[in-house]
Amino acid sequence: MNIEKLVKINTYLVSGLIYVLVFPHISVIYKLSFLFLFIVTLYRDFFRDLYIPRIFLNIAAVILIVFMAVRTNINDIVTPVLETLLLLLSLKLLEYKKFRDYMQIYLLITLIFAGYSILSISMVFLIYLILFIFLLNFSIILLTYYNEDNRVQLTKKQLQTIITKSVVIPVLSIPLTALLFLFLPRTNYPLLNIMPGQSKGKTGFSDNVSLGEVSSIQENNQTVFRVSMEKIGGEVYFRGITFNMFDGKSWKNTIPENIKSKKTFPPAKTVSYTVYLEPTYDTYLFTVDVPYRVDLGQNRLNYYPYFHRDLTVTTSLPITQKIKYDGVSILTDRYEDDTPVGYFLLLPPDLSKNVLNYAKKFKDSDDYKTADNIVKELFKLEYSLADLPTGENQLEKFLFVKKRGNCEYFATAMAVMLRINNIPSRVVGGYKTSTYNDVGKYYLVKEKDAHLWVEAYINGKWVRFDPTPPIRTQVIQTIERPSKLKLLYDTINYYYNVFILNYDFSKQMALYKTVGSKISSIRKIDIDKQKITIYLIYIVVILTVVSVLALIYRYMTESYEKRLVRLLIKQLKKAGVEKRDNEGFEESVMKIEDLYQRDRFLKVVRDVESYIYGKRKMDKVEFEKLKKELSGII
Amino acid sequence: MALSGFIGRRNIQGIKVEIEFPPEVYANTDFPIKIKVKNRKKFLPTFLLRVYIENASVLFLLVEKEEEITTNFKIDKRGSFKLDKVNVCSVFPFSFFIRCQTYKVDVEKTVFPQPKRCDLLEKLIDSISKKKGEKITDKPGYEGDIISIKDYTASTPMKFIHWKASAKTDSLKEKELSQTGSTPIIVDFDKLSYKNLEEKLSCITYTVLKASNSDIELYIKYKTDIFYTKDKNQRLRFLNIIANL
Repeated sequence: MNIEKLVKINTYLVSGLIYVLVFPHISVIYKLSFLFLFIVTLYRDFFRDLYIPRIFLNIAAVILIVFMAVRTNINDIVTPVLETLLLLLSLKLLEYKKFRDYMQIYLLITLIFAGYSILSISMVFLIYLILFIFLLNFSIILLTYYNEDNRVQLTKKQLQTIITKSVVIPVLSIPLTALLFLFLPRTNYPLLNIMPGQSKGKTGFSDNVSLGEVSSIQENNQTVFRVSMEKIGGEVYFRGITFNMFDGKSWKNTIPENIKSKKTFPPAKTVSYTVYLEPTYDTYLFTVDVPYRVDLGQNRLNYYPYFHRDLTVTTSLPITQKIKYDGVSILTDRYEDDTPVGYFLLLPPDLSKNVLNYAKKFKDSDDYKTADNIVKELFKLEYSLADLPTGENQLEKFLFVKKRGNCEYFATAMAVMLRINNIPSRVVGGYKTSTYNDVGKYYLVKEKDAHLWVEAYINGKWVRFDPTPPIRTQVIQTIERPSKLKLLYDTINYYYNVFILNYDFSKQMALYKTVGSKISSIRKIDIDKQKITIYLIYIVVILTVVSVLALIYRYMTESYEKRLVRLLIKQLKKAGVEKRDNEGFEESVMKIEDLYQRDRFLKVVRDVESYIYGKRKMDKVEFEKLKKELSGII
Repeated sequence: MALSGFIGRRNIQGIKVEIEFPPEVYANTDFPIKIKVKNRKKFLPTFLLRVYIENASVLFLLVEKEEEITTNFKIDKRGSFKLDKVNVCSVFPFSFFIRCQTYKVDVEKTVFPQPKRCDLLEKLIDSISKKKGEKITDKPGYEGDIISIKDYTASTPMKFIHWKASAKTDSLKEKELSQTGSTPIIVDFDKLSYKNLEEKLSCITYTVLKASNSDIELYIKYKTDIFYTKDKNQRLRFLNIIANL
């Protein structure tokens, strides 16, 4: 195959791939422009030649860059740059390409890929990265051939060998790159902490929650965060946000920040955990209910965390990258707090009489009992994610007409009914799950685990009540049951996150120090001869085992004919005849003096030759037979 | 970068270059040489290797075990030619650098003078034929007159079939022709006079080659020796002598 054609095809392939990769991240006009120019290029190269003066392309490129400079703002650098690079790539492809043009194309592709790395934070990126290293390596090698002589014709076999053998470069470079990742200096501040400027990825909770909204969150099966911690029985509540104000349709938080309160926690079990949060483009940090302390480590410099009086934690900036934080929580459903209660008794102005009267029925001798009565009553209703009450008077419809709903209906109903009975209450938003990965030892929290529950203020304590029927867990499981394979994939993903997120400047310094001290201690060490001997023995044993295995492998993969030939040479040697390279087996056999031996050798040799020079291939049975015969001679 | 350097270096190591010249080589005349590259590395083949021999070069795309390329080569000067090293270079893997290494080869060759067309032979033949004319021998051959007619043997070309005789006798007959012979010519090397030595050597080389390919029996006297140009060994011995003059 002609090298020029090969280089072209390969270049277009890689360009097409990078286009597919960034496709979801760029705007329609750029998508279409690239596609159009790309098709023109393909048409030009493979069907009919079109002459496009270079000067036009160069002018277009300059205009593009100026346009990019105008359009870019500090909040969103990546997307315009990526779009511009992509169009530059398509212009470059359109040119008549020489060696340096191809090199520029590969450079552009690399830059686009680097830009893509900012947009994509999932582990799939790693797979793409490896794929691209291999592809680009192959492309440049082809280009090297092309540059040396553009008339080169490669046979299929040569091409195959070039592909398979040149793989050694990326195969060696990947571990080297990983090593560089460990050792290259890194800053305390992420240089590329650029917000990809998308709010479209945003799901989950926001400042206010309307009835029916959580169910749409729950349709999403995306991972929100993973929490590395010990397994605790039952379901775990992850606190995110609280709401005090209900206007009949949605919940809001209206409590001013400056109100301070004193909290006391009952003696209960505490847990320490680490949360690996995916970018939420929001400011909530989720904690195991009820949180005691949160530490963002290095990230606190970028996302200054704020611990609110309602025991929620927010950051100063939206979380646009994967982050991790440590937390300590107390596993309890109540804590003492001296909050002014006025904010937690407000009722929606147009609350229906039906609801008012209905709620009053649950009034009991003390507030705990009242709350329990409400929970018991609500448990009788049906939990459902579909066909939810909508429109006006949703609460009434939920309680008396549809009698079905999801967590926010239950939580809202309870909170409102508590308030009707003069018990201060609020709704807490977060996640509830029992999905624990036993291999990775972490809780996996997805959007579908989104949940609302109620806290009632009784006797100076905030007490958690969850009025949603327990059937919720099963219903949610049916949204998408994680298969074993998916769990395994998630475990790998988790470890990838843990590694990437945990590896910061301080870890690197620690690594330097250990390596440094190891090196200096090697110098100081007075050599412990015994230890070294043991190590040496280990090494020798390991090397022996490895080489024996290699030999066995080689032997096993060799054809039966070859093995017999080797055996034959060995046996001949035993019989006192050294086979020379230029002599046939029969000639060698003739040198054997013992006539009986000679005859038996000759028989085997003829058999073996009939396989080597004939069309048949030797099978195992025949091989064993001949081998036995051969060994039996001497 | 480091890796490409390392791979590039490894690429041109562990190989062996062998060069094979044809037995007779003439100055200023293209002749084919065989360049053989053997790769002795275990795992890696040698990619994209350019072998430079004096000012000629050949490109090996891929050498797994052994590859061979034949190319034209020319040596300007007659006499002894010695090639003890060749340069091999490669831009593999990424065209960033060109790396070269010198390998030992062992080629020693005597380059014969460049044959140049001249009319020495014609003159010699003329001078002889004026004296005696063509000499016809009575040995059987393929060019002279018919000396007899005999039964056809299968190995004889058809054109020698004597159709007339065959028609007369009802069995195939063939013509037996006599061999045309020519008078042996002896040239005394020292007595030939030319403008300069090179002219003389070129002309005599041409004459020797031409004579060796025709039926002319040319002997050349050089000092005390006489060389018969039809005998390969003698011819080469003579060319060897004049190549080094």
